Amino acid sequence: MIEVDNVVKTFKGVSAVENLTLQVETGEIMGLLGSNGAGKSTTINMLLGFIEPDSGVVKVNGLNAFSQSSQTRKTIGYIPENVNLYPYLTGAENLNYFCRLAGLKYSKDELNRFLLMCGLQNDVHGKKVSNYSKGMRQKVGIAIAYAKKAKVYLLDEPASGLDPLASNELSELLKKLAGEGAAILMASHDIFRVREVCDRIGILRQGRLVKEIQGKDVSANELEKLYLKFMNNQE
Amino acid sequence: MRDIIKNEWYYLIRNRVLQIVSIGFIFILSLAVYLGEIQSDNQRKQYDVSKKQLRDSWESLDSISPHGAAHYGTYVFKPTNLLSSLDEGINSVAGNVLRVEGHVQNEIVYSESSQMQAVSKFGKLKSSLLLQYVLPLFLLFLAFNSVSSEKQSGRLKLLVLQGERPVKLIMGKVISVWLYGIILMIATVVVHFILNFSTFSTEMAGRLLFFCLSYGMYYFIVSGLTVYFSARWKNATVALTSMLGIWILWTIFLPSIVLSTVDNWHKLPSRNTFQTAMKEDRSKGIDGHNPKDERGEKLKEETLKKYGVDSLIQLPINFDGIRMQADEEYGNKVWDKHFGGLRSVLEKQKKCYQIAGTISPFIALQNTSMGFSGTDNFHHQEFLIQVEDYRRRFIKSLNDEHAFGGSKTGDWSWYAQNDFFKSIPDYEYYSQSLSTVLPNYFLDFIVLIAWTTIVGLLLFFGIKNMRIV
Amino acid sequence: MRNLSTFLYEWKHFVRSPFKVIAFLMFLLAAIYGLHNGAKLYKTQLVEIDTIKQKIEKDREENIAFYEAGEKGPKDKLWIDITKPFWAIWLGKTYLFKSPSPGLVYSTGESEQYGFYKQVSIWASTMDSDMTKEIANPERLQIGMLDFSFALLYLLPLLLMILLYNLRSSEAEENFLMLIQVQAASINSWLLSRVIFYMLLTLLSVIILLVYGAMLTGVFSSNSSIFNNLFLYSLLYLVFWGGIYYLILRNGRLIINNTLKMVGIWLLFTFVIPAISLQWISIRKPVNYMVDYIEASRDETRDLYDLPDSIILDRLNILFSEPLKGSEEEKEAKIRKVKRVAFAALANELIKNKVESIEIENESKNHSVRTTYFFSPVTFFQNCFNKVSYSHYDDYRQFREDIQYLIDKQIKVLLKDSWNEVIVDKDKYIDYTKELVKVD
Repeated sequence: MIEVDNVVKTFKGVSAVENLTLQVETGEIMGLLGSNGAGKSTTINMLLGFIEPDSGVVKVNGLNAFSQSSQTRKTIGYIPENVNLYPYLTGAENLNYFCRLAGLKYSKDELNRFLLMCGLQNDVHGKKVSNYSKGMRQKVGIAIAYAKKAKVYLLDEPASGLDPLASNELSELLKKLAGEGAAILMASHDIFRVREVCDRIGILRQGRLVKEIQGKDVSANELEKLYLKFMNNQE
Repeated sequence: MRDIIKNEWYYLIRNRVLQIVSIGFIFILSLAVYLGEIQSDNQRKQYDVSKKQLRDSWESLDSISPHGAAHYGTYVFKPTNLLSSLDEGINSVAGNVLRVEGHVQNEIVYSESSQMQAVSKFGKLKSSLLLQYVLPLFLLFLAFNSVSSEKQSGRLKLLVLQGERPVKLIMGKVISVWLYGIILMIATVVVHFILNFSTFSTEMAGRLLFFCLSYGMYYFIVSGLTVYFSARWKNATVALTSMLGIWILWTIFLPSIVLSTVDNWHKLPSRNTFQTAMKEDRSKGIDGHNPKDERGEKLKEETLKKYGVDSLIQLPINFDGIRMQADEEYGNKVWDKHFGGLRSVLEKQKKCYQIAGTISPFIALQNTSMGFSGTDNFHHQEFLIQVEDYRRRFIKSLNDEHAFGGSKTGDWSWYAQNDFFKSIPDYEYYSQSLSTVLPNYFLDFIVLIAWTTIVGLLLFFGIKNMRIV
Repeated sequence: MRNLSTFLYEWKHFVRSPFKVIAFLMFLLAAIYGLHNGAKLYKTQLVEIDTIKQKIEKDREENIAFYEAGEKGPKDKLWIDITKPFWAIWLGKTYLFKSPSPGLVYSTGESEQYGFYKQVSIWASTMDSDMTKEIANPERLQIGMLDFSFALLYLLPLLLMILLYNLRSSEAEENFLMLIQVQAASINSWLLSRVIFYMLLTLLSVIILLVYGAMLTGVFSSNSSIFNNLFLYSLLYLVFWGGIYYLILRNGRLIINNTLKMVGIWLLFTFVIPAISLQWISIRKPVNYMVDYIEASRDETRDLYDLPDSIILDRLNILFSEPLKGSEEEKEAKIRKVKRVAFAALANELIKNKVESIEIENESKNHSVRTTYFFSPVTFFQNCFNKVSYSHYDDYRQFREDIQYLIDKQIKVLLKDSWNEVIVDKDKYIDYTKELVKVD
């Protein structure tokens, strides 16, 4: 599970995250909506242990994400906005390499199965990543996280640039992962996708969580209106 | 085009890192010229002192037979070259001292590198080291990103949409980078000029002009090719790595490999083989010290006939001097044959090396740089020939004195006086004029011009179908 | 486990980078070419020595034939009398050879700067013109022979640079370094594993090349310490460059910056620092035109001829531990007979003293070179390689010392035997040919 408790982070005097508190339970998908600079990526980086909060606590599966990052990272699957992989390796080879970095060793069949499960068809597993579309690379990225058997998934704009079909496949996969007991935090601009996938949605504005909504309680249109309202309103 | 170059220069001038690097570069280049000048000056002083000391010894000779003086001999030191403070060339490995004496042509000995352990494979910190190796690398770093950054940022699209022809854009970038190299090179030459103001001559100016021309062409080749790669390849890193690869190949791999290979193709004899062959040929001539020598007998008969006398004792001259001179002249022919053979092998090696400039323009640059600085093997060989000419005149004067100075045949105790020894001129080195030197580097110039043209054409035609996005 | 996986997987990264593979192959080719150049020089020197030895042997057989036939020497040179010690030793042709080390295959060092054989006579000196280099193209000498040490010292750091230049920074530039950080336990150990892979790959190729070189000249059968020492120095050199590059990669995030730093450091260590050092030494201690030596070997030697016999005798008695015996009358008569040798002995002393001061001056230059080792590692390793292959300046200085020893020995023997009017027969002649080449 993910716990962010009263976290503050400033960069050169500019506040990036301000008293942020949120929790993502196992089996839950939480979406973070916010404009550029709202603090989404900073939050994810703190959860990944790359940035130390100025104050407050960031925990992943009960462990401090920064001071115990080497342990927490073992349980985190991370999917960035652009999954750039080694272009001269095939999809399967990339997956294998990243799994080995995580200390995991899979057979060729298992690797293919992971890729297939993440929506990458068999015929492209052996092709070099330099020939992949962004969506295909994204799927390898998800497979990397999935193969790690992560308990926590952090996604930074995962559907950016994906076509609707690929985006839909991603949503299905995330739901499946949550169903298997993973806690998922997804930062995004995509209101509709967030509404469709997430159990809970938080709206971030200038580093603050200004609104938290249950996904099932709002329609996409309502969410958009709500989002725009919070973005436009000055406190 | 002017606007493009101006714009590029704004970038170069306003970039703080480049400003610092440029100042640093000018400083180290000036330092190299300055240190090179101090070193050359020290050597020149050493040369003057040594030359004077040995000349004094020669001029103090008195009451010694001319032949004794031929064995006593003298020494010639290799002078520092015209622009050796810019490019040291072969000076440190080629030897500095040549003994001039009768009967034998000695080798030049006591090179600087034989007087200490290994320090630097690429020689001293002379301007040529920086201008040949470091500056092109710097130009490469300036140029590799010039077009790819425009592409990646989308500026290139914008510029082309504004109506600018890609070829013009690219050429503008090449010229601005090239100009940067030229300015640093000219700064070096200016410092050299200031330090050598008092001795500066039109000959030096001419040599410097060709020196700069060859560097100018080389810098264009490097800048042009790098910008071309920057325009053709997908990203800047590929352009950088491919050009770095080419630089390594041109400057580190090929010169060494080509010269080693050429040395195998046109083999020089070993000293032992060479000397044995010389000795064998020499033995067929007159033995200057052996009165019973058969060929000497023939010469004796001819001389007696010439003077219309029956015996050596009746000769008004000293036949020993004639015989020794005949021996010398035969020895000279043997030397001409064998050393001519050596020189012809060296010339073949040089020709092959020059042709190798077609695969590495760096080789052509290296040749012209050494050549116009007067520190290459052509100049060295010319020095050796001059010394040998001097030796011949020197020994002939002594033999003539022995023969015609007033002594009789067999009178080895006849001494010449101090005035005579003083009258024999000291060796003076005559540096080759530019007009004699130029033909030696014609091939290198052709190679550099060909490379410059190819790169120019590559830029002109290769850019036409360049992808803008 | 993770690091091992990274390490093993690096092979794939390597083989899928044509630029790196080509660079690696080019390095191998250059190194093999260098080994063959070294081996060729080794074999050429052996052949040359063999040719000279055969010629000496032939001449000696002719001389022995004179003894057996009771003749005094060649009929066209009536002044020669081989029963006299002077002519027996003169015709015996004493040569000293600096036999090339099989290690020459690895580093030709300064072997092209000096002669490797010398005919020792009472008039010889270690600064004679035949002590200079073999006939060679000076431009080739200046640019330097592409030997294995060149490949190792200059090309190996370049190869390593090409193999390593984009590690970590390419992931950073492509924005998946974070992903790697999430996957790998430690980004530094991940990077280190990758660097170590390339270092081991390079080391392995160096070992194979060393073994290949050893086979060309029989290093293992003659002196395996050459191999061991060279391996050790290569390893240290590799670690030195690997360490520097690792630090650059660890602290830099952009390929271009890292490459610039690597090239800069390479230029600094291989070109700039050694070049400045040499320039500095050359300014402080300019090239020696050997005027003192020239004056000693020419003018001062000439002055010896004016010395009265008594002084010559006194000086000889000071020089040699065994005094020249006999009554005053006998001494006076004998000194005239041995004058040629006596002059040679005195001249040798004069020249030896000058040579010694030249050697001291050269040694002070070498001392200056050694002080640059602290900031000029390439110079340090270059000299280490030369030492291992016995082609260092010191090896040639030792060769000169050995020559001087034989000159002294020959003068001593000749003076003693000439003084004692020894009649040389075949056995004594053979004895000379054996004894006078022995360096104890």
